[in-house]
Amino acid sequence: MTLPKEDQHNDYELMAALAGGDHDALSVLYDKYAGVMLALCRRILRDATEAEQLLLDVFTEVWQRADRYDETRATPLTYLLTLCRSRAIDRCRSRRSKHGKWAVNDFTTDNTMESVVAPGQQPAEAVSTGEQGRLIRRAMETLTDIQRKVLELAYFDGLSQSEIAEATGIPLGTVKSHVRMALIQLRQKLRNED
Amino acid sequence: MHCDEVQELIYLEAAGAADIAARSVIRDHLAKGCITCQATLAEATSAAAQIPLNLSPCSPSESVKKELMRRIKTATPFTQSTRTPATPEPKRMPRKLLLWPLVISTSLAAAMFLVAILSLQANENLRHEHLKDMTALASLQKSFLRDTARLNRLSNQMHDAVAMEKRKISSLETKLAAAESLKAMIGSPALEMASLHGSSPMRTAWGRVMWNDKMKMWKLCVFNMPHLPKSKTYEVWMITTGGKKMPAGLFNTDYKTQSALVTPAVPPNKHEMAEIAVTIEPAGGSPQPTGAILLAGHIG
Repeated sequence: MTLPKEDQHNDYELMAALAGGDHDALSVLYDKYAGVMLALCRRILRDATEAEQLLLDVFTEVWQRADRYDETRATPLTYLLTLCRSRAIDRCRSRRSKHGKWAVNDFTTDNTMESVVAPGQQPAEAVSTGEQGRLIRRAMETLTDIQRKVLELAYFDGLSQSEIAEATGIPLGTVKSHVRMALIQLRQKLRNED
Repeated sequence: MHCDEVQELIYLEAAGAADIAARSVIRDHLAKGCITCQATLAEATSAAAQIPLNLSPCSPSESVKKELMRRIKTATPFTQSTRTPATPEPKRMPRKLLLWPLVISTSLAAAMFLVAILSLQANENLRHEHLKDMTALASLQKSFLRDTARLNRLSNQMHDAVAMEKRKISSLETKLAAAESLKAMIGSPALEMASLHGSSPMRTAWGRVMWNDKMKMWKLCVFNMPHLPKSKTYEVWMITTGGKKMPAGLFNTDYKTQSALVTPAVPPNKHEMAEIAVTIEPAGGSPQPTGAILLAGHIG
């Protein structure tokens, strides 16, 4: 992640304190990242109530399994978002298996953030992720529409390479190529901004 | 699989789109210790993890945080037991430490199992190599025996050839010695000669006798005398002045030339010899002539 170094340093301290059973550390971490994590849950689950329930479960898991975090592998924010995405995708797949396969239209609709933020709700605690959000948004804008779409179907909808190919009608090899080029471009842009 | 092919799958994995097969390929490849692909996966994962930051954050209900704080008051974090002073069992080992003996013993068992497997594999390899060596050795032994037998055959053939050549040389040496002595006899001033003439039924036969009294050598040459069958032989006679006939040797003529060079036995006293004659006798000769005199000449 490319958050300011001081901010990252604080996050590492928070994770260490949390592993030591510090309730306040979890409270601070929640205030910092609950907003973006909830946005991610909503984006994936498309259900505000279920998203909040998942957010609660994820933070509970973070608290109970604080030993799982390895600072040599990921920053605290990357860890939180990866865990959040993983649990949300799991719920989504579980729901999909109960209610049948999603329609292709589900993936082709334009799911921008405006569609998942509840009316009247204001972004909270955007201080931590605001600048970073601006950078990633700018980087995402440099991607082609199809690159962005393929990336979102993979990341937010949890579709496999073959499912993306089926949903979009793009050949499998082209899907792989788009994902690769999109991530390489994203990485380069974020490096430059850093 | 090459790094280029794996890296394409790595980007899928980072974006969360890799299927089970792709993940298996990536896992196998990284297990081989490919540092480049490990770095690519880390970078790609880091880039993908920032995608949600594109979303505008939204505020959760206040009840969520309240519920969270209520939960953590009753739930103990995994590692908290090592830090909580109120814990009534200070001597109790943390779970991590409790796990160490199990981890170590499991690792040791796994290592021993691995060593055993490797030893068995090495032993099997050695046994295989030994069998290969034994097979090669047996083949070499067979080849060696074959070559030895062939060498023995060649050696025997060579010995036979050498013996044959020796016999030829010996024969040639004998002939050479005879020729040398004949040459010496003929070239000596003591050489004496006499002619032999044929009589009925071999009127065309003729001959010449040479002797060297100093060298005690006699030679008789005969011509126009037919080759005799095996049952018969020509016999040379030395006839003394008193008419006594003394056998002096047997011969047969050449089939083609109808001639012969004969070395008669040297008479004990040349001065008593008056005539030399040839008769036909049964094979093996006779003590006294049984046939008519066919060839005769004066030597007295």
